[in-house]
Amino acid sequence: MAHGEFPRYVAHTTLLVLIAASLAGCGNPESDSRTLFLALETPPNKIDPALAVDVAGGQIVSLIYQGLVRFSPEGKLEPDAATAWEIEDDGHRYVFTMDRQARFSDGSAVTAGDVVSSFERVLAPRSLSSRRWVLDRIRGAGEFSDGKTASVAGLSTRGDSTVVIELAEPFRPFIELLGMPAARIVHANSGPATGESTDSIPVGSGMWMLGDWRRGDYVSLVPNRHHPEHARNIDEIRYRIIPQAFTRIAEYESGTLDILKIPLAELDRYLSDPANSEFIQSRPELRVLYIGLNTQRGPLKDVRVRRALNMAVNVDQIIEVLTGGRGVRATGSVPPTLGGYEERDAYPYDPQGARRELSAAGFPEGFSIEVWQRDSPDGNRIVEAVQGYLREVGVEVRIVKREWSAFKEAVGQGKVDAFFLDWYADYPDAENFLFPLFHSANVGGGGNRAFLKNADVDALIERSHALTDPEEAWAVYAETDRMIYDLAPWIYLYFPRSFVLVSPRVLGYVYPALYLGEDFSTIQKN
Amino acid sequence: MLKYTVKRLLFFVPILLGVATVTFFLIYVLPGDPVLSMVGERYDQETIDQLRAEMHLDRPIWVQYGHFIAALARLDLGTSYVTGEPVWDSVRERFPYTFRLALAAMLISVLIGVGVGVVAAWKWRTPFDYLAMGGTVVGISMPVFWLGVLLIYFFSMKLHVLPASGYGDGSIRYMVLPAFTLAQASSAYVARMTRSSMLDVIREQYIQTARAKGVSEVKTIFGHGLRNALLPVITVVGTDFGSFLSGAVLTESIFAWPGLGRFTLDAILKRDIPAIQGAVLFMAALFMTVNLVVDLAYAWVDPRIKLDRDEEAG
Amino acid sequence: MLRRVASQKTGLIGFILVAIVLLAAVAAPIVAPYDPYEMNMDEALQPPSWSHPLGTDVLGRDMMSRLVYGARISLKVSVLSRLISLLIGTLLGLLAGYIGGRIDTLVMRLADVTLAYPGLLLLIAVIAAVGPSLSSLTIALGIVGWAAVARIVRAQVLSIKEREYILAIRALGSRPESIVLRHLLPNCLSQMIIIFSMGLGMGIMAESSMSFLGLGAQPPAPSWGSMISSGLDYLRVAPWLSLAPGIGITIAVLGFNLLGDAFRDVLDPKLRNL
Repeated sequence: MAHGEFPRYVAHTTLLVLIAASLAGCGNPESDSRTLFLALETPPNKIDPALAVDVAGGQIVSLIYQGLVRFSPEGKLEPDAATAWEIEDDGHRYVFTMDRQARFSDGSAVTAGDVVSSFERVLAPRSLSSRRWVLDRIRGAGEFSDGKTASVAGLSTRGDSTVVIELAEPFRPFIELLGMPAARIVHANSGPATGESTDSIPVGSGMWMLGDWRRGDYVSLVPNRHHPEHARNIDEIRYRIIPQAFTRIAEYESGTLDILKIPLAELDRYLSDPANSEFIQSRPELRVLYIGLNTQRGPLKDVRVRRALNMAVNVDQIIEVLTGGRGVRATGSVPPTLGGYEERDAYPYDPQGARRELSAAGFPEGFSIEVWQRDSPDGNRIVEAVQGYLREVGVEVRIVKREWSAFKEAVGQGKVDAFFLDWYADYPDAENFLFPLFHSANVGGGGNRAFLKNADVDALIERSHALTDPEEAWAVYAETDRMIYDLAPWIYLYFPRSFVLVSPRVLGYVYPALYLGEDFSTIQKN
Repeated sequence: MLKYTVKRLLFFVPILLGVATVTFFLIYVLPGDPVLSMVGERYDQETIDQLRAEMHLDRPIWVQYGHFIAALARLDLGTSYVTGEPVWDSVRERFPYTFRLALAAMLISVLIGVGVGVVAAWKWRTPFDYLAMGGTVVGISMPVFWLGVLLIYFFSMKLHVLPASGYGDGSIRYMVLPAFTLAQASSAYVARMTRSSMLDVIREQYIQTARAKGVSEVKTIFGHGLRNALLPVITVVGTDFGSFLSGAVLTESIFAWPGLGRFTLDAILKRDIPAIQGAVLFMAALFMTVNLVVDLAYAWVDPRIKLDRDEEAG
Repeated sequence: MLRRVASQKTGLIGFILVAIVLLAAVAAPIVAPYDPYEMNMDEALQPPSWSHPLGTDVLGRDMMSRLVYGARISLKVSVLSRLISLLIGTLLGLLAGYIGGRIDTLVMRLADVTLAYPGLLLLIAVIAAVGPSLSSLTIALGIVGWAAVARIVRAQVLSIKEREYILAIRALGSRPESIVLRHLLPNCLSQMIIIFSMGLGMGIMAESSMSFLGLGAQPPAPSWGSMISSGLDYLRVAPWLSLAPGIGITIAVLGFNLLGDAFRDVLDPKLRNL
């Protein structure tokens, strides 16, 4: 039996040694001081401006591609590939003058023609872009998308450096839409936006260009040396994909992450630690958290029931315990930092009152509903807390967790009683909350997942679109939001505030108000 | 021997086909519409219908099944709904990471397992033996994800000596924690297996003879005992490759390791049907192949085993 | 038999650990100091103290109570799923072994296909298909585990069915059902006990792993696996949230593993080291 086995034994040992050697031999020292290490919670699906829909994708798109305009870290609109613009004809026509210095990363100049072809790429009949709505207010966009015309009637150029955009109807926030990822400029020779190949990511003219993309591991950006303001103090931004909050913390503390978005659980610890607190930056987010209530289903049809649910949940305590008191209670959908916000009285926390309301509506014994959510640690805690409060007033909640597409389908088709969601602003304007979330044209998949259908609300929102005077628009927004709050299509939760910890090694970072507003051009690392 | 080999190989293809079929029909019943995972906010029905037609989703299930199997024969696992990349490319890109992790884990479990097992057999019925065997039984009973969390907590958060996650620059530092986590249960098994087969061998005649001849104890143990005890250990390591694959789903998700396990979990969380199918199929095929190779090698080396297994396989 | 199991040292330890877990599960309402579902956000994230021996979670629920009730979930899923496996596996194993022929081939190939999936993977795929919940996890676990049972039962049937006395009974004209029920099945009993008890630990492990991934128990159910995952964010500020349930799982699995080993040694010493 022992015969003939020895060689195999040797072979195995040799194999193991070889494995050990190969494992050990692949370390190479990296120069950390010129690479900025950042973390993403989820990997971006796509980083083509026409196709990116997630936050991670949008963040990276806004670094690689210029728009005609962009958002500064403070959230203000500023020139990007256009140096100036005029709004003519009562808001029907926008005339942009292009920046003659703007260069794609292959060195070619950014022309007015590139802008037109980029927009047409999004709107094209075969395009898979789900962000056509960003540009579909341009005159003739619909006909072009349907394949009836060869070009978009409202898009034209005057020479290489002037772009003229005509809208079908005046739309005050249009200029802000142009800062969104879908309105970014790609090289005219980019392939169609059909999502067939991710290897051919379009060439852009932003301060950064794609260096290396290892899915599931990291996305790396390097400076676009043709951009006049490209970063000179660092050679690379490396977005590492780290899904777990506690691993991100461990990474930050071992120096392998330069900027950490602080998880709520650790906020108090970091804020109270003097060694860290001076390196913390914070911003109110342009985001609202809510439990959407399907206003067309069962007991939730009754506005008294929906108001009762708002009274049953102790939102202040949720904010206090789950965010350390750092969220702002939502008494409407418009965040406090936007025009159109106004202070108003919140639904009082009053379980007895809620029970009375439920009885008055014909549910003295309560009822049971399903609340759908996506699986996320923060969301889980909030929904579980709401579940606990609602049980106190006799409303039994069954929590159903589904991934995004199953969630989106069921909720969008109105098959779900209630759901937990958050809404991020795509551009800093209250219109981006009121219109998609509550206008009856957007019922279902369009964003109005509470299925609110109210003619007065619709009329107010439509009136606001054409107003060119911001103050006037804001007053209408506030009125709309107040009207909707009374209708209680949501259990209103809060506007979060977020905190980042910037490593002392990193200089010149400004935490942006909008996720599209990142700018790493002047950053420096010691 | 040849007959056995041919028989096993002949069974391989139909079983793989069976796995493909089960996987297809399982995933076919997933709730929700895959097309909706491709489009974002404010989509219109027309785009959705167009996409559905392009992906044959408007065809009857058996037509879709036909497409699926035909494509599979060409090693075409379809295109990811989420990233638009061919799944086969992603699998090929991700697999080496899992493979490296599994290799490292295997190395660790052999080193620790054989080491502990040999010493435990040598020090049979001493406190070391009891301690080691107690340790292995606890090791087997400890959830792999919890161990991973504990390791990160102590080595990365408290001591700051090892990176908590990721593949990093590929250096061995990044591999230590995930590989140990993955190797935990397996090294315990290997230790137990080594110990018991060592004990069997030690009791055998020729060791007694060697001892009688005055060869030193250590030399006897390592020279004769270990060599003969290694065979069952190799089997354990080989078959544990499967547990490494499914362990990788948990381990990779804790350590943000960019391998196939993480890829599978991401695909499930995003309902990326072609990616789920591709990854599950690939792992099952790999698992089957490894088992086949281990079985064949084992039968080749030790015909007695072959007979037993052959009978059982019917 | 239990006395013989308990007379082994490891068997005794296993017995004690399992007894603790069983006691916790059965007597949960008595043992648990609080309602495991009752939140009290004024007392969120309390460290372990006399009034809360294992502290409280982020919603102010008592961890000790949740841990105790968690034993119920783990045991319920594990025992039920093993029973399902045993039922399907025994039935198909008996059929395949006794009838043989095409049925045998079909069943065994089906078993091959099932066993071709590495560990959790088939389970994950099934749960992804039907949506996560404790009952679907239980059923899926049960179904996934049938193949191993069927193989063992079939092998046992094959080895008995050609024995003289069975052949004699058959010749006497006994009906197949009665042969299976009165002679074959009882002969498989000790095998079945071994499979069942050895599988309980695995079942608990599988339940907690799946719940950890969010594919098992749904909130607010106090499953050990989901308690660990929801405690992760607080690993630094409240480590007990993740540590305690992990110890719970380890104790339960360890107990069942030791007890399973002991059962096997007593009932069928041949199987040692397999």
